[in-house]
Amino acid sequence: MNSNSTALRTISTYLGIALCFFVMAQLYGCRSSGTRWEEDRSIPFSPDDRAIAYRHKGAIYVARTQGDKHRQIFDSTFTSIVSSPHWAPGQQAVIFAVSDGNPDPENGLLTYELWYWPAPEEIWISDSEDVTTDTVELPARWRPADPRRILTAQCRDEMQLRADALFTWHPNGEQVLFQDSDKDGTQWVMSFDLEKKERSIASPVQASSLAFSISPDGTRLQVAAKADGPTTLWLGPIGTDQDDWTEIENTPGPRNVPSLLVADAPAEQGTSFLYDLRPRLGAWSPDSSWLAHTRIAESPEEESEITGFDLVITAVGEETSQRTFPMAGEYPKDLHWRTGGERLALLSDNRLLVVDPASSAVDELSAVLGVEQFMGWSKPGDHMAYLILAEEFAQTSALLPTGDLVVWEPAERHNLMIAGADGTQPGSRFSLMNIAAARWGNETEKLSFWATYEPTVTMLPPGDPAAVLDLDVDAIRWYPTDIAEYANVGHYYLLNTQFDDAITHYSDALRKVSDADLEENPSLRTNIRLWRGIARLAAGQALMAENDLGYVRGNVVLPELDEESDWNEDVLRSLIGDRQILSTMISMGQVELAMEEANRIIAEDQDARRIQALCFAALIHVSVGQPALFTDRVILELLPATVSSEQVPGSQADDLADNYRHAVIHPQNLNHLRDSDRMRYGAALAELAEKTRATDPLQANDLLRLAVVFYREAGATEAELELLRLISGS
Amino acid sequence: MADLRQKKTGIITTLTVLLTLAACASGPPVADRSSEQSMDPEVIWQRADKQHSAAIQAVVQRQQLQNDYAAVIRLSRDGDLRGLAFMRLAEISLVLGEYEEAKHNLIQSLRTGLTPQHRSQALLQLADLLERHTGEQEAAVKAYRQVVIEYPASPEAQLARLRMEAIDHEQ
Repeated sequence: MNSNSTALRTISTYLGIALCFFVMAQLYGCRSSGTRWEEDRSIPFSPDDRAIAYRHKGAIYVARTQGDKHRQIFDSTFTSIVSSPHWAPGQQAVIFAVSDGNPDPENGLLTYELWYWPAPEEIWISDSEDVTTDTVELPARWRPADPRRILTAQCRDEMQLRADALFTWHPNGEQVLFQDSDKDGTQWVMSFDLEKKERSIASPVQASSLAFSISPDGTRLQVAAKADGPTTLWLGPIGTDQDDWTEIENTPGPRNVPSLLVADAPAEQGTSFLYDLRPRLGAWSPDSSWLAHTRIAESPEEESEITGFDLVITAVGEETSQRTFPMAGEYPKDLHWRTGGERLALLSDNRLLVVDPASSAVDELSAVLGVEQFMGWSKPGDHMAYLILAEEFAQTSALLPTGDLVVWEPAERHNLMIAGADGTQPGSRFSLMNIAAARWGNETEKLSFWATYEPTVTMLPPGDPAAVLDLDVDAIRWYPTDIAEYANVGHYYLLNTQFDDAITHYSDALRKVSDADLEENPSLRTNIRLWRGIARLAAGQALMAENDLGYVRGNVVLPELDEESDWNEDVLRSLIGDRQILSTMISMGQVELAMEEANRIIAEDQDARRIQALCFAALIHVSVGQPALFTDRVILELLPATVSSEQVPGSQADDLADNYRHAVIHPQNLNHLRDSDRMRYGAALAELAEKTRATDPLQANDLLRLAVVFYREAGATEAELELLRLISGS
Repeated sequence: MADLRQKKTGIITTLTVLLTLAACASGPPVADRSSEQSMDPEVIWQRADKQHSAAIQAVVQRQQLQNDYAAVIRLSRDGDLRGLAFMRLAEISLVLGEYEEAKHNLIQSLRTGLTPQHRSQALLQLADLLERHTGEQEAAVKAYRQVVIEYPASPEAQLARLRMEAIDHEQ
């Protein structure tokens, strides 16, 4: 389907809507509640934040945060599944898990492998060169080393890989902790010594469902386990036996995480499965002395009845010493400790709650706005970060001669808010796009996330490139992997009026278009040239822009026409080309350009193209609050062009005229007009009616009735009476 | 950037003039106290008649003003300017007694990229609206507290602390 046509809803969808111009508050849908299973999409930084490694579309990528294009170090086959990568504490390597996704036919277990990629010294070079631009490349001779397989183990389900729930580095960098399963499906936490290549049992806790995490100092594990009984949370030193372990909770509350609802898990896997275990793990304080977890206040079996939860803080090493903070609201998520461990914060019902364990005080930050994601505090401790939804504007729409409705409406976007460590002086540091899986760096004031531009008029191919925002130097760096993502980076720069950068990224996207891509999406190249053409036009490169936009017009894909369609194909092709260009300009925030282009078409054409361009001009006028200009356009240009059109089929011309006749006399428009203008419109309509009477008496009478309304509103009773007599034939 | 700030100042100046007109349209005339106190229908009629055209004009201008701010919100890439436009829309709604609309616009303003100075003002205005007009005392205290947390050294925070104390006393 053509990328633009998807947003142009056919009028049939809107039958019953009398007016095409209206405003409507756009409310976002209610959020569903319940335990969710998270597919990990985070972009981990290396321990010193000079590089990132991430999973994307079945491959593992590595890039420097100083500025560089990423390098793919592993590409899974079509049938295999790959986990998120983990940097070694000494940043000498990255490990990740891979599975072919084929469960053992006898016991249903899934075999997975851990792969080790040695990170070469060259990856850090850009720092020593003191490079700050986005275009620096690694040395041309540099090639990523091949990763090697280090162990094989078994797990219960591919979701454990996707959610990054199977393995972690020991902080000493010499061991990897991972989950394995015996042939009966009982799961264990194991330790693997990289040098000796030996396995050992890390925890005595075993169950058919298991999740674990290691303390930052590497001395302890926490394990969430569920067999036949209730879920339990255990805490103990690594490698010790059951006597040294303590069950610290028997009703650990799940923390809300995005993606798949627990209820979505296949029914045959039953309640013993591990889907909701990992969110029940607690959050370690940075110094490993505290563990914070949540406790379900009511029965865990009756989740719908839960009205609150307890926040429980356990003193590590004195597991019987727990402090409990009753909290209201939904299951919490995004539980983070401040660097020094003196505060922790979480999200519940989109409320950002900060707890001071010493005083038991609970503060709510950003209390009047819902918080979408809380990323915690930066490691230096100077800032906290959270996401809020950006503001909205009123929806407007316009009917086009083809019967399509072009809708200009707000899209979901975020503001990335950075505040002082106590929540002071919050300010938006990244906006205009939708942000996902944001996280802080390990040492510096950097944030990584995925960013997507959600259009306001046209539909765009999905694409969310990885990005790193460096607060220290106030720079954003992007890591697009495919055409849609390069285009998305282009959108970011276009929206932020950095046109040269936008052109560069669109050109990069174009260079990557292959025949296979075009086979899958025939309009791909056309779309990218459209975006680049707009960027070039905005950058003042008129000739180059015309080259791109001319290509767009010359490569319009016509929809299948009804056999009884009265449209001329060439005319329709021109209309679709114009429509793509104009609606995309508006969607990309280039409204002035759209108006200039519409005016150019209006001056150039006399029939259908002119009418459609007038519709777009009218849309812009009504959207930016110009009722007089809107009415001028409709009465002095659009209606005369429509009633005399030879290219717009009769019934669609009638619909169009009818629609805009109603629009101009809507109170929201009519009340804004001066009496002198109302008189002028009355006279113009009467004159148009006179001209139309011979060919279309019904239309002429409709125009007269419209003129009557304008005269009546202007208080011109004599003029009104005269027209009423004409209509009644007396 | 300087041009933009000038533009903002211009918008605010225009707003002040037009808001005065809007206020005239919705409020009683203030100049003639004796006329205001009169119970004579003729005198009241004359007073109303004198203000009628200006008041009608002010309503039209108010509508245009709302259109202009809506246009700024839709078109501007400057988060502070968009936020200011929402704050002005809220101010108009407040004058007209449209408190839910005012609340909506103030919350929207906080979702933009307002500068700290404007953001603290928006928060304080929202708290005041919740306290005095929509009867949401608990929400008002939350908003006051947010002013104090986010801008502890600001004049708005000083006012917020005192207002919270006053609410506390009332309860």
